[in-house]
Amino acid sequence: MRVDLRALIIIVGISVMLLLALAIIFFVILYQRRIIAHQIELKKISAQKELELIQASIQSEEEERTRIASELHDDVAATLSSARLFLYKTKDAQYDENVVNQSKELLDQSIAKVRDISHKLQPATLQHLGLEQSLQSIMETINRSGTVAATFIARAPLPRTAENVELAAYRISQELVANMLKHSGATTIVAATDFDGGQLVINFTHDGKGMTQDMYEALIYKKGSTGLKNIVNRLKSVNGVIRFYLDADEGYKTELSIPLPA
Amino acid sequence: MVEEIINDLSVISPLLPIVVGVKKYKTLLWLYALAGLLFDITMLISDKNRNIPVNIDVIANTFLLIEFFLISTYFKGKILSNKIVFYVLFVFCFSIFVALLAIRSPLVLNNYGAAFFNLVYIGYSIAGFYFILKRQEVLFLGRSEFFWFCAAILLYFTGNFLIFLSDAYFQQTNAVLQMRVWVFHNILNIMFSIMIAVALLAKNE
Repeated sequence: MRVDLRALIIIVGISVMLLLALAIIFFVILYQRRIIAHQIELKKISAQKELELIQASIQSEEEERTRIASELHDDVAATLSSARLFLYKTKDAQYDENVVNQSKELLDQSIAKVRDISHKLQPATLQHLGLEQSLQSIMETINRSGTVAATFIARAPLPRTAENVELAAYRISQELVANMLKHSGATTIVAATDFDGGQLVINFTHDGKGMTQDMYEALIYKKGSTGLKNIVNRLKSVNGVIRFYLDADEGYKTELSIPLPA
Repeated sequence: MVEEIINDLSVISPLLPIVVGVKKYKTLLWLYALAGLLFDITMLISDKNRNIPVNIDVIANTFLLIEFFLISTYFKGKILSNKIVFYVLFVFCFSIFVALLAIRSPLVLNNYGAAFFNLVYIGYSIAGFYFILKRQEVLFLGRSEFFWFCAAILLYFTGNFLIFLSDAYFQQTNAVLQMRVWVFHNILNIMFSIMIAVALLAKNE
């Protein structure tokens, strides 16, 4: 009986060990399957995100074209047509200083509008004076509106850097400020620039209703949010990082960091 | 009758990987299958013809050492990149086997040494699975030679571990049960050969 019991224990032991071995093999297979499924899912998400970014980029380009077309059509073309009419009038009539002055005024307006469009497309301040001056200019423009108190602080002088980096930082800042004005209901906005360890840092603080990092990460995957997707695209092109958070003392903050090319 | 058929099938089962992987005759897997076949045939001949003056236990002990060398060399580059650590472990395991062999007798089957080697192989295969999952070099496991070999090693030697360990005990107490247990070993051997053949086939993928 004793012998049989030992034999039984040994046979059960062999069976248990075999079952354990099988369990290990099945675990490896199942784990690998999970990894495959996870990789497929990641690829899907990545492809989806890529597609959304491309769509956002195309949409943004189209919107910009529409805006330029409408400004050219509604403002510049209309003003030039009026100037043309005035000039036609002078053809038949005697020299009328008033008509010439009006035409000159209309032509001046057109020139200013064309300059404005050109400035929006490729900001001259950015090209000639750099990022710091351009950001200061944005804040001054907001300040002049009288509805929002905008302040600019340069904590360290920003060096001139690659054109694409400056443009990306400028456009992202423009988009962030536009969003603050549009959605936050802020009454004060503070923009501060800093340069530390080869890293360009731009901080925006406002007293309105802002956004946290979670909200930002959720929004960039949603349909629409073209502006935010453009921010993602531009950040990607310069290896930049953006962080949204709520500071208990100062309010909502957005920190933009871009490494400067060596 | 059934037991004899299973035994004969077990003896010729290494032929399957040898035939399937004949084009890969330079690989360790193929050489291992060949060593297995030669050993099984020697066992069969000595079993059928008792007049041949061969100590089958000595041959079995030699085969165990050859098997250890081949399997360890196979796993060397796959789970241990450090050659020194490998050689230290190799010498350590070899010494334990020799010590166990010396304790009993070189002329009888070194069951405990074999059981110890089985534990080492189980360790190799688990480490192999760990590295398969860690490195993620192969997406589909069915196409991986290494996965099939690890699976074969784990199943075969897990099953064999207690068989070798209890063999001496059964020999003294229950010879009938010992025979039955060895039938189980033969079934495992057939399954092992099939999995080695699959591993050799998978190498083409």
